[in-house]
Amino acid sequence: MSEQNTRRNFLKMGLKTAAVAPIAAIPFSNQAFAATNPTDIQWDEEMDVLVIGSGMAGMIAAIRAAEIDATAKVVVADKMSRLGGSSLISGLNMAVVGSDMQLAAGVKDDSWELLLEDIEREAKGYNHRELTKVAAQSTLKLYNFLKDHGVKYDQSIGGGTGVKDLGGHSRARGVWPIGGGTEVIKNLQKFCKSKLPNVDIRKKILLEEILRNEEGRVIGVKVREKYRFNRKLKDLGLNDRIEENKSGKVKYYKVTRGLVMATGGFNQDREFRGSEIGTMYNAASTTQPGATAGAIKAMMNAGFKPIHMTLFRFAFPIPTEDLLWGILVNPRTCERFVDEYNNNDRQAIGMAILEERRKIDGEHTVLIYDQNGADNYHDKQRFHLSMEGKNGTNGTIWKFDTIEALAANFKMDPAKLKANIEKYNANMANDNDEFNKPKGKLKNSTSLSKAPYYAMQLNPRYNYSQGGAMITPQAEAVDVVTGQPIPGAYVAGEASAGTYGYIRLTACSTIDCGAFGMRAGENVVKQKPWA
Amino acid sequence: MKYLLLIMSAIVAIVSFSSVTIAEEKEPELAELMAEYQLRPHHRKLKFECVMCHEGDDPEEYEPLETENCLTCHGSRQKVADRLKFMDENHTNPHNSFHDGLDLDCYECHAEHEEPANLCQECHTTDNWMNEVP
Repeated sequence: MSEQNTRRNFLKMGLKTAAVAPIAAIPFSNQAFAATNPTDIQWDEEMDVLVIGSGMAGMIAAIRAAEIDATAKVVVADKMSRLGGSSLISGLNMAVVGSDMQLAAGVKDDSWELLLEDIEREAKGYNHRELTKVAAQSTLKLYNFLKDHGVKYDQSIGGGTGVKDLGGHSRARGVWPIGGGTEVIKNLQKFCKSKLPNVDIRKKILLEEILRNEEGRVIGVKVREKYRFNRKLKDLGLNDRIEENKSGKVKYYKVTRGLVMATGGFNQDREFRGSEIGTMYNAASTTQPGATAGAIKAMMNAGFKPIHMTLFRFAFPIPTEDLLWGILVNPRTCERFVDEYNNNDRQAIGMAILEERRKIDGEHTVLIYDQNGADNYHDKQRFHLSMEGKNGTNGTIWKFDTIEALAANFKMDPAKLKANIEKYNANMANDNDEFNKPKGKLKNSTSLSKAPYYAMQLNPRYNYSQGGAMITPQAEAVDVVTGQPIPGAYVAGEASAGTYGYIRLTACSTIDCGAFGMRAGENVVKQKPWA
Repeated sequence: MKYLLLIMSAIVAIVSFSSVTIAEEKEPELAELMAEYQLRPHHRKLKFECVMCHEGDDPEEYEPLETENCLTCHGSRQKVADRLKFMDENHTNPHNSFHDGLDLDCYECHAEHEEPANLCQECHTTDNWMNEVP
């Protein structure tokens, strides 16, 4: 799409859905938004800072803003009845450089440069380095911020050091707050309640529109109070359509200093993600149900620049590093369709699975191990979680004495399955796999022959949207037409984009939330009120 | 809500004393509404009528219930949590859970006029620690 085209589309969208006074936009037809004249609006309420979203990024931004200026009225508004966003249900591993625990564990040669290098190995050049640098440099500040606000770290992990050596990280630097994301959110909420009377946390408030004045400054928002998200809709994204969910009452909030968008990703929005990437319509997602595209649509509608929208991150219920011990088959043909090692590229394997499912009406593909494969698992804890049925959606592994029993369980043709396993074994014996899976990587899992057998329906889960609104290193939103920061507009956490690119490294969503949540809070509260 | 109940019983009283035609007009409408908006078995047994929960004269304007409305009969968040106290041991008490404490709104799982939906089940397999949502 040419720049011209993009501009025209945004303009069209802006005009079509503008609620108030679009006339002002016409003299400046190269604007990406329909300007609002503040005197045309009957404001229902006024506040200094409005944070949309009550997950980790939003709470940190609100706390920073409220601490810097105790006179500032800070409102946190979330559309869900359950506060905390995806952070609430996240494990929340954190990569931290230079923590007291890391030093005590004897890791003394870590640096932000090394973390940056690790992140950029996964980012594959898609990221904006000036943003990635902010995230890599802010980890210790975040670690201490959380500690100062009631969060405790688990000393029992990592063999009693409290520090985990995580995949893709060149140094052991992963720490884990006790109770994961749930406790982080609860502690931050508790802190606001007991120490920050100027923070007001509200639920069931849907952001409908971001209002900018003629100069382009954000001046307020249109919301619906008493909104009720419907988890029963077939595509959760339908909640953002007034025809499907008209709950709540329209109100206008005058926001005098600035708006922080901490609205997470759009992982649960089938139509939206499916229009970015066809096969993604069928993917499962691990995020909270409210992760629909409503917020990014509102931002686009107000001329915020969206980037990286087709980039996303898959997670499997089992470690990607342990896929290669088995074979992945189409249950109808009983044939393999991908190199299960695939340079450990979770995105490519995930896409191959979804593409295969598209050929068989969305039916699940099946991953099969023999006993050697099970023994080769590097993460035995997760294997056992799966065996016990405790590993979430599509996470269960079943055990079978024979290939026949396994085939019967997944309604596969046992003769075909056996023939394909024999073919795999024979090819692998000559290191001549039809998908070039390297024998040298497989330890003793070079054939599928040692009973009992294990199998699961392997489905990639869409767990992170790298795409979102582009930000500057100061967490400012960027105008799609001018390329300049939008006055009074900040974005933080998963809602923002540019830090991670191709794939986000594990244990890094937290540092993005923290780094830019803190910056957004610090900057927004210092803005001169427009009214 | 009690005030509304009074009005409703007054209307019922007036209707039963007035002409047969009015009674015929009113009753099928109520019956129709109650057939369309079915109650869960435990509330049906108690023979609840619309106005015991909803405010206003016009059914079209009825609003869905907030947690506070449910608690006018059910007491408090703590009270409903205590009824499932035996589940606290494994942090699986849905009314006082690991993730949400006492904070969840009733309607996240419970519904009156449609099927309930277990929120825990969105992520967890709950067969071995939970029955169906009543």
